[in-house]
Amino acid sequence: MSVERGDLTGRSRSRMDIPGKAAELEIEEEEYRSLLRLFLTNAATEVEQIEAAIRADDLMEVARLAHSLKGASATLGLTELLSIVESMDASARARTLSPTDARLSLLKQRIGQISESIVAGRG
Amino acid sequence: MGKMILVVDNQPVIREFLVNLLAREGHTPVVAEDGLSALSAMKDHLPDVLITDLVMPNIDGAKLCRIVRGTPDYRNMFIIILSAIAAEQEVDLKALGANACIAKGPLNKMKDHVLAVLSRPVLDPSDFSQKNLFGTDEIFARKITRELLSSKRHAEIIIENMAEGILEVTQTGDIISANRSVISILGEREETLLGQNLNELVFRINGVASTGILSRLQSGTLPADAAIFRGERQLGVKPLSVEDEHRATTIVLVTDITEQMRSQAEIKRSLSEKEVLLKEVHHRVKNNLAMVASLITLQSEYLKNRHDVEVFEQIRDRISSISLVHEQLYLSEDLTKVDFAAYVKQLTANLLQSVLSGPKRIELQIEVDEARLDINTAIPLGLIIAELFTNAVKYAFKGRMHGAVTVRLERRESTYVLMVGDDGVGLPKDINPRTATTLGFQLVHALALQLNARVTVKRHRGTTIAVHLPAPRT
Repeated sequence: MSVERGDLTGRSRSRMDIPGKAAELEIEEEEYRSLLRLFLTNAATEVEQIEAAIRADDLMEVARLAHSLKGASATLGLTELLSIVESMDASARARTLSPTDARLSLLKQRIGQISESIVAGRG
Repeated sequence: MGKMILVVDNQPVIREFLVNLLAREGHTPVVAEDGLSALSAMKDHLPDVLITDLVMPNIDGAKLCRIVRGTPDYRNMFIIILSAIAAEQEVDLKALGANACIAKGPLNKMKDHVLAVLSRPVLDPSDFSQKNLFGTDEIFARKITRELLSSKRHAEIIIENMAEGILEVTQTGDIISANRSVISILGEREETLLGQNLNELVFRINGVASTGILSRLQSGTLPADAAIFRGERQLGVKPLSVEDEHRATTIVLVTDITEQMRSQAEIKRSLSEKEVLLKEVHHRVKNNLAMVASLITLQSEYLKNRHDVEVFEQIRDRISSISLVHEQLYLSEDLTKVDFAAYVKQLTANLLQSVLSGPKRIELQIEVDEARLDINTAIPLGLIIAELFTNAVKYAFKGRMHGAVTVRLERRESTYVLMVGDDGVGLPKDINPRTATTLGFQLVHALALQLNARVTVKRHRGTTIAVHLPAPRT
């Protein structure tokens, strides 16, 4: 799973298709939205914790947090998020991940987009 | 029929999804976010089914399974593992004591697998068949989790096999991990130990059965040398607080020091036994020498010649000065060192009584610095003092009715200086103590040589002979 170059530039993408995703996962859209919201309340904190763990050079902790984030994004079908976290985790292991890594901001940006999609969908 | 189902996962999305799903299906879901809270939840609601993740903080899924399988009350619980790990490695159900394993994956797949397992007519908690693995084709997190597991396993293997007992407890003292050593040291089963509060375990502390060991250690109200016992075993217990931004727990090192304390006591006992023996030996040597001295005295009574008697008396005094060292040794505390000041005081007093006859009055001045000398130094030095002192008392005051003899031992930087001086008539001009052929002076030189010492003479207002010997290293 490699991250496309285009992703790294942080170019804005179209909003997430929530009803489509819900249908794909065979779940009611409302329930899916509520699960996404639950995911989002923790995701931002988890990304911050990943940043802190990278700064502290705590590989085990990066891996543990990535594991939790990956589990949730895989379950919710957030495949792009999943790829970013996996790619970052691989770099962390290779010791080439810095706290200023572009993928961290990309991760935050994607989480932000999911957040916007939910708000937009409600309106 | 609806079941009581306990869902254990630290990811709220998974908990929420399963709670909704299970409730819709007519079951009663209960949630916990890690193994520790799961154990406490089980006490309130005995679940029919346990659905648990493997990677969790505090008590993890594997341990939770072990505890459940080791607790008779929970023997009917059906265990389903729900974990991302299942996607990249084959989970050994029998080893875990679990009945089914579902890999985390997209919601619809996960839902299908969970419902498929739950809808079986019979959930058999003794079925550990390896065919109950589901969703293992929905691989989404590959080698990363594997690496996490392998580095985790590496540390776990080390901890598990250490001779030192290791407990990890939460801030409130709940035990969340225990290695093999600590389980055996505390004499508990793992399943009863995990989840229990360390402060509730009873230890015998300084003879009193007590609880609250952790808080007492942490607050410093338990002295470091307190005797802590669990059953017959004496323990060393040391809490180490582990705090970083991710967690705050306490690692408690527990060592079995029973053997160590026992052999320490054994060494102490055997040492004191040897001291008693050594004391006895010194006592006997002293008595035997005293007997030899008495025999010489008795024998000298048959001598006709005054000069011969004096020779016998000299022999006796020399033997007595050695005997006195042994006496000081068995009176001293450590049996290897003589309190030299006490020795010199007694030696000179004895000699004065033996040598001095008639109405002559000799004043004694003894100034000995605090010195504890071993037997190899004390005996030759004692003999030197005996010779020089006897000489002074006998010959320094010819024709006088009184005089003073000074014995002084000074501790200097790297030497001891022993001085025996008098304010008498002075050595005859023709006698040089270095070359004198009398036995007394010859002895002094021979003994000084033995001590690596140098002898100097000062002829000023009487005579002072000084012996400079290197101070033994202490």
